[in-house]
Amino acid sequence: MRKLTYIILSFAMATFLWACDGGVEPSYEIPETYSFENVSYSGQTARLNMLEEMTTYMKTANTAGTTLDATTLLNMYRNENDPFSFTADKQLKDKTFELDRDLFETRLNELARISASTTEASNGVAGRITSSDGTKTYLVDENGMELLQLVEKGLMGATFYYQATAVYLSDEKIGPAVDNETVTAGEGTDMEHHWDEAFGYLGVPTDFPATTDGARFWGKYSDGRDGLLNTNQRLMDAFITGRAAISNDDTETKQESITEVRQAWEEVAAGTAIHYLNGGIDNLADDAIRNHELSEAIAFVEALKYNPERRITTQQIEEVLTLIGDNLYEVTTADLNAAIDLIAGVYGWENEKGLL
Amino acid sequence: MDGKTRKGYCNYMGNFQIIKHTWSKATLAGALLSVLISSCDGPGGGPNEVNFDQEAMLSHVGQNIILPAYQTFSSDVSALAASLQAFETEPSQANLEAMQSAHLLAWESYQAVSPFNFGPADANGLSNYNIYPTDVQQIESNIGATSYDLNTAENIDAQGFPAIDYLLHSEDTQEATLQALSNEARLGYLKDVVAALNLATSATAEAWSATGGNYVEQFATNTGTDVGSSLGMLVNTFNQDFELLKNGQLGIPLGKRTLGEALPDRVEAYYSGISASLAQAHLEAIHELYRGIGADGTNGPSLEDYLEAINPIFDGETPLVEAIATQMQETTTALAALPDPLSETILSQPSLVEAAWDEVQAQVILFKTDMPSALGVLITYQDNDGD
Repeated sequence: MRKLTYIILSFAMATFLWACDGGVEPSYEIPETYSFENVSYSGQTARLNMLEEMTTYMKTANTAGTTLDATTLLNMYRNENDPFSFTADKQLKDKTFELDRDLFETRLNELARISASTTEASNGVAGRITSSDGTKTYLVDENGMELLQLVEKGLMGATFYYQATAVYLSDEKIGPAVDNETVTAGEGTDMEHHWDEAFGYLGVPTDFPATTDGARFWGKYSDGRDGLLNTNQRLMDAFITGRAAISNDDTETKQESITEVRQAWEEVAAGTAIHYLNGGIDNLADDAIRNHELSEAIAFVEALKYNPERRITTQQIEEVLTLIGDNLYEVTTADLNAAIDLIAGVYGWENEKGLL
Repeated sequence: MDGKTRKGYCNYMGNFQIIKHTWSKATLAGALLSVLISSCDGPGGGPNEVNFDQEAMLSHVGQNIILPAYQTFSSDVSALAASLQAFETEPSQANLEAMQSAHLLAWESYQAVSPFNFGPADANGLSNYNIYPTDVQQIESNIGATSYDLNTAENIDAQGFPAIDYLLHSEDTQEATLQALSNEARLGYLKDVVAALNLATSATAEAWSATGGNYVEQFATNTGTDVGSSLGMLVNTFNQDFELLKNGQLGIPLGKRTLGEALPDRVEAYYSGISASLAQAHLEAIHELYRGIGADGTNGPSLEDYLEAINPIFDGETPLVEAIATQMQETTTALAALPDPLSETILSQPSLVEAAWDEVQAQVILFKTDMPSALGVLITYQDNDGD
């Protein structure tokens, strides 16, 4: 009997070894969509909803005469005093990159301050500014900075992108010291849950990109750059593969997926930065459109720094920001082109840079 | 185990991929066998079935490690309170220096009780007395206020060891400190902060003591591996505390949470500058706890012995206890190489601190995943902020 047990065990072991040693074909199923057992990222969805409502509120001040309340803005950022149409026990502020939390509060205070302006904006004067065709009006500060973009796109970087690429995909959250055995009903293991939370910040439906409806924030911008950079499928594949790898304790594939998510996501940020720099050049003479496009560009360039596996260096990020400068009325085509060249050079986008 | 189950627990047939791929073939047979035997061999199965007297270990740890650690800590905090009293009577430089040394000594003793943040320490909120960085603005505002309540949330980071560190060690010269403490409100705040610390400390020590709350007996007899068992609590707070060493004492000031941007003023003991030696004392206390080395130097049954009895294999060939012992040596060496003040070392020799952090992290993995899994203890604390 003992011998029989041994033989059965050996057989079981052989099966196991055979299954594990292949290396090429994973021995587990990788689904087509982000459909797994025990997935939960409601906290991330709540934060996306918060930024959406905040943005809606901030946009009201694009209309002259509408003043924003600094306390309301800070309440929204901190989720204090029930500022949203829904309730959630999450907040944007405590998930923002720690060293930049004050920066965003300053921007919110600034935004409230300039929203009280009653004059038209021009170089040195904060206020509303309307595009030459009369269709678009933005609220900008004395230097032409559209603070709404620096807040909304800024938080996409300092909160969503930072949390996903630097926090949830870090060793601290999904590394070897993290529990991948104990399953919490509805959330999976700690490691699975952390991965799902990173995915939650992408802002896409689970069957993205087959379905692009409902994609927002980063999901929307990935879709915007997808034609040239193919980021939709790459991000989805990496997220789905990584989740399957975690559920099946496949460390190597998990590691590859982390890098792929970080790289593809970085390309969305960098590609979008170039896109808006191009927009700034194309609309150089239109103060409103140029200021708007370049404010977006600045926020996406700033975002690049939060990715721990970024290919662009902090010095290069600083250089790009210096080229754009801190007064959007005084930019030059040459400087903006130099900024584009610098970014494109890092990612090898000589052919794409003009089309992004 | 509220809503929690083990992935693939007792359900291994036909689900072999749950076993870690990093294990080599040679040990897989042994590993699979031990999985079969230890976790699924009938009701009540589990690592407890090894021949190890858990109660003897808990009794030794309680009597010879925890009790003396609290006694020393409590008497050092009392000495701090006494030195403050002496200073109040005669505010001389000699008395100031005595008070400063008493503060640093008590802080070092705190490192040895830091791993026991359950039961009495938890009930008395002892860990609240070592929150850093301290809130200097809040301290100054309290000193300037007519009244304050140290029990409120906003004052948690305006008291305890780090606040005393600011009050006693932040001036450039002793003369300046003497001058500052000649302010009645300032000295009064120091007295309140020391008194609060003293109260929490003596209450915790008293609750453990055999002649007091006798938690030491409860600790020894609360056997098993479940959530709420002494072993379960100890292994959890032991790990949580070790992660405090990794993150609080090293990682955060080093910039591990801020994309590499160093935050040297986040170290423990920023003003007195004894951060590295506190971290070293902390590591030593954790290691002695793991090894079962009592305050008098005698070795008794320990977590290490428990692991040795179970004898899990790590990484294919090494017994886990050996892997841990080797790593402990590496960690000790790397941490010992850090000179104080750590806040300056972080800027001048970041690679040294980085190397120490790496070793601590390697040890976290062994302590937090391999050890609890072998002991059959569930890590229940959340090191994330639960979202």
